Amino acid sequence: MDMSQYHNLFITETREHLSKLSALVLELESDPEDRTTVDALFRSVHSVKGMAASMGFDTAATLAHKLEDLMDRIRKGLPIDSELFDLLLAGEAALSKIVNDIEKGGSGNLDTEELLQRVVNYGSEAPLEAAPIKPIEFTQPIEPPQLESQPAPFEKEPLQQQSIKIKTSVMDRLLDTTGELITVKHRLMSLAKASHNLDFSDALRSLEKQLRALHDQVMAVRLMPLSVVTERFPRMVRDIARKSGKEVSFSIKGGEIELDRSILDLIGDPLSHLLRNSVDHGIETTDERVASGKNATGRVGISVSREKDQVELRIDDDGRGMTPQKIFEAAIAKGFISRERSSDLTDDEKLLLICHPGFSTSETVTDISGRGVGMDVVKTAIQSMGGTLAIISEAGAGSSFRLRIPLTVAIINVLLVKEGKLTLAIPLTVVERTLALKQDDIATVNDREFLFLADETLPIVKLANIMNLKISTAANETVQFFISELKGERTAVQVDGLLGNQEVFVKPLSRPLSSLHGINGATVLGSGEVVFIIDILNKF
Amino acid sequence: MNDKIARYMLFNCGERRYAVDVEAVDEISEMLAEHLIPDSPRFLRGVVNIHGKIAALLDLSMYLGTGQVKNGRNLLLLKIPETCLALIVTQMERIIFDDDIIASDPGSSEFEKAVLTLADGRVSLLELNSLVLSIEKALAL
Repeated sequence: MDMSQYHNLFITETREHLSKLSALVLELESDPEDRTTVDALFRSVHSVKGMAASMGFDTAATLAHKLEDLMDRIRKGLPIDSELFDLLLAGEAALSKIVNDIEKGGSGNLDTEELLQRVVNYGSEAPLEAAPIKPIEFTQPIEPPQLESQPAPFEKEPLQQQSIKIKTSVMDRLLDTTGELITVKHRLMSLAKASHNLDFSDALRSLEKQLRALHDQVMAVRLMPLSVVTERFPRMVRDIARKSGKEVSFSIKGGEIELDRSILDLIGDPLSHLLRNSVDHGIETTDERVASGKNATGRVGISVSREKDQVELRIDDDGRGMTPQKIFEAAIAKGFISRERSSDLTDDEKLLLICHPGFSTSETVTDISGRGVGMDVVKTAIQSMGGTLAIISEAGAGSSFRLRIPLTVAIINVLLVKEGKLTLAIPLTVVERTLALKQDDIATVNDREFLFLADETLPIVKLANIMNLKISTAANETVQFFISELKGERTAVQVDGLLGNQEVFVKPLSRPLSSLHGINGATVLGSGEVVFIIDILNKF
Repeated sequence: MNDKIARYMLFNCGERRYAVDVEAVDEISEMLAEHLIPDSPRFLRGVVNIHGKIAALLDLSMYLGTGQVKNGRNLLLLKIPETCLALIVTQMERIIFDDDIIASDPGSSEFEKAVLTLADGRVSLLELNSLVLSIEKALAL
């Protein structure tokens, strides 16, 4: 029988089971008395065994078989201790490695001898150098592989819901085509306006309605629960906490909330970075916590909530927290900001200074801010997907990092600006506001231009300079700007003209344009004009 | 029916004649409206929107240092994975078949896969992958 068509299915299904397995181990660790978790673990390894054996992957089957035996012994009353959790997680890790090997075309026959010994010896007094175990030959018929994942007790799924698997490339093309249709619609609408034909306009309005429905449905297909990203976090937090000798309990609320897969691809790294920081630097050592009258076990949690077309992700901890003024002082010491700005900044804005590039170097981290390196990377990543970051913290009580991100990145709001002959699009997420002023409001100090507003003074940077464009010589009476935070400093970016805001469909660029620095994609306006979306934070 | 195997597409670009593998040709079109690319080298003349694909427009002649292409009449959109690049072509010539090729000599640069001798002269067969890689490198600077 040709098994090749089951090959991919085996890999996907086994991975699903393995990720469930590691979640179950952590559940059991927090409540070792829970028999339903023990049962679920047994079923999980049992399914993996069945699938591996039917595909002829003997090493995986043998290991899963021994893990199944182990869980069976637990079911029958073998006591649970902390070694069990380590064994099960090691088993999960080894099986994952085998699956990775198989995916790459390998045989999956990795060396699992030592682990097998430990699994077999668990709970017995037998010495470690027991007779080596031979891989079991599966000559007897094995139960059919359980390719449909078993619903674990914590999942509720409607029984009759039918589903199919779609290649992600097909979903991407669907969205792309829908975006094209929307662009064509914009073009038709400008034609309709010019033609003054009422029937034409009417027909277009119903087309618009249908297109919106189509777009919504296409977007809905692309949604996946955040848990696909977060399910590895409990394990990660556990490992970091262990390594740093801290006790940390971790919770996720709202993992079922769905996001576009393009966002899910991007959100994993910033989230794990923030979590790592919370455990590494936010949470105090057990001794410190006890000394300050806190519960010895620190709490770190992710909670997710949806608001219209945005999602708020919160990473909270009850650790040592941060002091806005201390961070502000450190930023002054590093020359990122002048002391005079103190009254301009709210406490939350002072906390955001930790995202300034070069702020959180190793020494400052734990002493001053209690935060890890690379917050600038986190902030830039969040902004480049059209999101925002806010920090709220209280010394001694903990910190809260709040990310607001759009449900999808394919359609974004941009500010269109004119620069010479070029029209450029700036994502609205990096634009604080726009303003038009008289030439008199600009003053030059030490060869640098500044904008004097009623309540503040902002440095001026010309967009043409950032983008290395020729500067137009026409001196206008009014000068137009948008305000943006560049490298941690609020800056007035001067443009030739402000054309207004628009919702646009982002087209990712192919080679060779994808190598262009500071350009995030392109979009086609209703007029047919191709406009580039500028990643001003990375270009500056 | 012609049972000869079509091998290469022959075209003029500036003062020279080039050939590309027919398998690497996605589409040949009339010149389309060009849109400028901010902060890009001059050998990229802009982008065009070909059926919703945003293709970079390469002045091959300028890139290879043989002067700018004037009166580009056509676009030759290349078919290379993950790539959207169109060559500005002064004139499309014809398709070359196997038996049109009198001799094939090794190319003299990284962008020249071979030099083909035809009845009416010699043409440069382009090595497109190195061409795209080298443009990418130039853009990433």
